[in-house]
Amino acid sequence: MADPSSELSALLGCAPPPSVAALPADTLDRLASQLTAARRAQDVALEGSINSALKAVPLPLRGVVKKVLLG
Amino acid sequence: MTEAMRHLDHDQQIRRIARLLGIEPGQVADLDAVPVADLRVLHDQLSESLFVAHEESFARVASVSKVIPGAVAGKLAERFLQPALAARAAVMLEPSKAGDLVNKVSVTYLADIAVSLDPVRGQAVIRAIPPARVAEVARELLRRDELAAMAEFAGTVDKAALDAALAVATPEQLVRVAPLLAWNDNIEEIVDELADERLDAILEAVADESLWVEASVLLRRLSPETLARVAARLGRLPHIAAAIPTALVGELAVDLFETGELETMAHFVPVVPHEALATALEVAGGANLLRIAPLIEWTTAVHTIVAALTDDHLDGVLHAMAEEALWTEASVLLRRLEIDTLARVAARLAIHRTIADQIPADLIRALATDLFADDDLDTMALFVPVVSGAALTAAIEVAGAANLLRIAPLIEWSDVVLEVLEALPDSYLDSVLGEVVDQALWSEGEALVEQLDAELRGRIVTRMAAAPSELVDRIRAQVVANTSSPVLGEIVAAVDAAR
Repeated sequence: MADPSSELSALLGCAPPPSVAALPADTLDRLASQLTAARRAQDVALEGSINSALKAVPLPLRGVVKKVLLG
Repeated sequence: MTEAMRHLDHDQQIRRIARLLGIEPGQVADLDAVPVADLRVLHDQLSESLFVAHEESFARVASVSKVIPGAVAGKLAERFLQPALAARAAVMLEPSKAGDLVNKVSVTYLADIAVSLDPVRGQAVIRAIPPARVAEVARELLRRDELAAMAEFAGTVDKAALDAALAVATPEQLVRVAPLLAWNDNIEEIVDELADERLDAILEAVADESLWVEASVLLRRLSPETLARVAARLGRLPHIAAAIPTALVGELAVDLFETGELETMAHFVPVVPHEALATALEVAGGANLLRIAPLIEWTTAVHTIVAALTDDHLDGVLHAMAEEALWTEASVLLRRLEIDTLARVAARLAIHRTIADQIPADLIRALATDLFADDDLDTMALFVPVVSGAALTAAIEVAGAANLLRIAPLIEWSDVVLEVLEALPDSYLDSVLGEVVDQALWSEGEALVEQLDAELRGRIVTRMAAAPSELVDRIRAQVVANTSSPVLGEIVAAVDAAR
């Protein structure tokens, strides 16, 4: 079983404050899951926003905006 | 920060973390045991994680603003981009573009973005927002009671924008948000520059809404100058001053005494309620009580509180006086004390002789000067048996011959007193003789000579024998007429024999 503190640290990109790292494993596990869910939700929301916005961009600008957003 | 205030701050940080994760505060209740400062760090780490996860996408979204008109970009963002995502994209904007875009979206949307904005990463963008727009966003955040977000926002903007943001806060909101602000020079300057009317309104709000917890934090962040102004304003608002909780003054006093800001503390002495003042002086400790004595207005309340100090407190003052050589301060304090309290000090010194022996002569000289000027011989007499010979000498110097005669019947005679008198120059003894005659201090003279040892009596005989005949004749006549002292009789007889 993975170390919850390590898992959270990996998601954060750094070690959490000592008082957080010292929390019970299930709390750290839950926090890591909540962050993962937030990142996933952000991914979905970003994609949805970009797609929706693209449809609403005035036609003359849509090409250039699409190029900027999607590469 | 008080426990109650820490709790408020804690709640605000939990709310911020929950918002960041898109969940309810109750879902991060496990973090309750984490200190507030660590919650802030965790929030910023979570925010950074969310940002880094899609940094490239945020950069692309921000770049759209470069290729389409601001009005179009603003409309698209408000319609399709969730505020949290907009907040992360916003930090990638060129500041000038951000300054333009904030006028193309609604204040509501801006406020939504503000609560999710990373104040550090977004600093350049936030600082590009015109103060007027900042004020509008601040008003909206305050309306929503988003105090933590408001505080983060306020900590990032420049002084002009901060001024504008805080200007739209009601006095109550200002008091509530102030403790959450990361205090910096801008905030301090703005608070220092608050008009008296605004200060009064803030104080009224504190009292009306019982915002004492917040006020406690705020007060302890103010500069000494502003604290002094607050104290002065409280002097004009006695109904508010009277409502100040004892605990608040105690906490403030602890801080001010710890940091040595005694002058600031002194400003509050005349305005805070009796109980609160008692608490403040109680937490002062001996050394601080001595140090603040010269700075405070010695009101009736102060005298009452000092008079009520326990023997332990008084001992603490005396020990601090000796250990820290606070003689100048002690001199002021002793001369401010009312007679009953001074008598208690003398009694405590009688118990703590090692302290009494250290009291410098100059201190006793100053005290004696006051006491003799006030004709308070009884109190002076209390100090005679407890102070050193050098201090007694100094006291006798300022006493003058007449006062020495008058205090003679009141004091406790000891070898130290006799040694001091023996060391007096002949000129002083001449003065004593002169005062006895000039002011008809016959009974006092009698009391004095009866306490003297043989050596001193011998010196007096010598001085009288050398005195003008007229003076000796007057003394002899008065001794016969007014006293039955065998000692005086013997002295006069010895003088006659010597002439």
